[in-house]
Amino acid sequence: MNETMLPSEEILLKYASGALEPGVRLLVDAHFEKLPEYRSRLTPFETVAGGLLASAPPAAMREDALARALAAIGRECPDESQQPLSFIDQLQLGGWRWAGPGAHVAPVILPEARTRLFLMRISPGRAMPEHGHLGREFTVVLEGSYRDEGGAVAPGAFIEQTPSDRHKPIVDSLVDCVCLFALEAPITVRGLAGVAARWAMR
Amino acid sequence: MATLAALRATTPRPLRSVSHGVARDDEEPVVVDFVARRRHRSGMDDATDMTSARAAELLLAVARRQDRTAFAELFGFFAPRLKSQATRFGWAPDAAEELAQETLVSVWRKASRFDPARGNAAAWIYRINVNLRIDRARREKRAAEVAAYDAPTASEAGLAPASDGIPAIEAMSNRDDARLVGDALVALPQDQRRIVELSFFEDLPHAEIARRLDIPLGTVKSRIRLALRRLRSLVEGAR
Repeated sequence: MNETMLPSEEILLKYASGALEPGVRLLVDAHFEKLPEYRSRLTPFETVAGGLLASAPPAAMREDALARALAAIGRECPDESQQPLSFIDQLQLGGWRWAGPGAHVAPVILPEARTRLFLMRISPGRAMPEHGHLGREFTVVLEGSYRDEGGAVAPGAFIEQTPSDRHKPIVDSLVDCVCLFALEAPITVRGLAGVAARWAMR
Repeated sequence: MATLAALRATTPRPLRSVSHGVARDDEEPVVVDFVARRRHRSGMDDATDMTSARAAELLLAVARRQDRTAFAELFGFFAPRLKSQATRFGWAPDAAEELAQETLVSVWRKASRFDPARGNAAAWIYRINVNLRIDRARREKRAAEVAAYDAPTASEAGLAPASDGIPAIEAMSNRDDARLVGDALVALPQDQRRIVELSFFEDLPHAEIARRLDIPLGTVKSRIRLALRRLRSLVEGAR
């Protein structure tokens, strides 16, 4: 997968530090779930985070801090071995809405996010509504694939686009293409399909 | 007649952290001693000899033998530093301390999963802390990791606590991975180091970075990319 379909190093650094905006973090989680072989890109940034931790000034703690920790480890420990649900099943969604021919959109509920999150499902052969946008837009492909000016975009691909990017993706998989979006500002959408998409994403 | 010194010696002082391990100019040396004594009594030694190898050894002792002494040493070193890092991400001290507690308890439970071949102990422990911070922010349904732009504990404190912009390498000399990272940061030009620091502690729009560093918006993205590429190769190259 080429670099334009992977999270940037700036995003990886913030992912490692914990500073990354929660909505975009969700997309990066999905990217790593689909493409675990790319987790190694995090390693140098996790090393940086570890180094900064080790050299951080120690804060004063309560006198009984260690005692409390020892008491906690002595207690019954919860079962942490359960298998996690698939990524899509874990998402909390609002209602699905029609967003143009062959396109449906559902808001993703993540109260702590500062971006607006949407799941979009597009039928094979359909184009995603052509749109520009006012802020940055992040996309991760969960299922299926699409094709745009940059080439084929498959599950796990993570795309960052700025307002100056114009894209016209067409779904080229045999199954519906399902993508998760994080938007920094409301998108502007052209045409009738645009009106539908804008309404659906209001 | 009671002298000021006698009064200071008898008046209990509130527990406070010492910035970057160095007493500020306006503080009396007695405050540094006081804090050091309190830390020592509660088991929080500064543990300046905690190297990566030592931390891995302690984790192994916890994993294999449920060694509580090893755990106490890990706790003494990492818990106070997890707390101070969390405050730099905008967490209040009490919550930051709770998170540090939870992190070390989780370290105890997951110690057998630590794989030294995949990264160092500090990075592994920090990652556990990040996941707990995310979970907690989600549970509290609050805007996570919001470091207010004016927050003095956020990136203002910087990666480079000394006024000349160079991290205190001497203080890190016994901590091998911290020194690795410190060396890499020092090797970056000042403007690159500053942008790395802003990127690490806050998720800022590039327009805000441009404003803070007083540089053109168009240069922010490329400067970040260059700085991180350089940092990555320095960190990877040294291994």
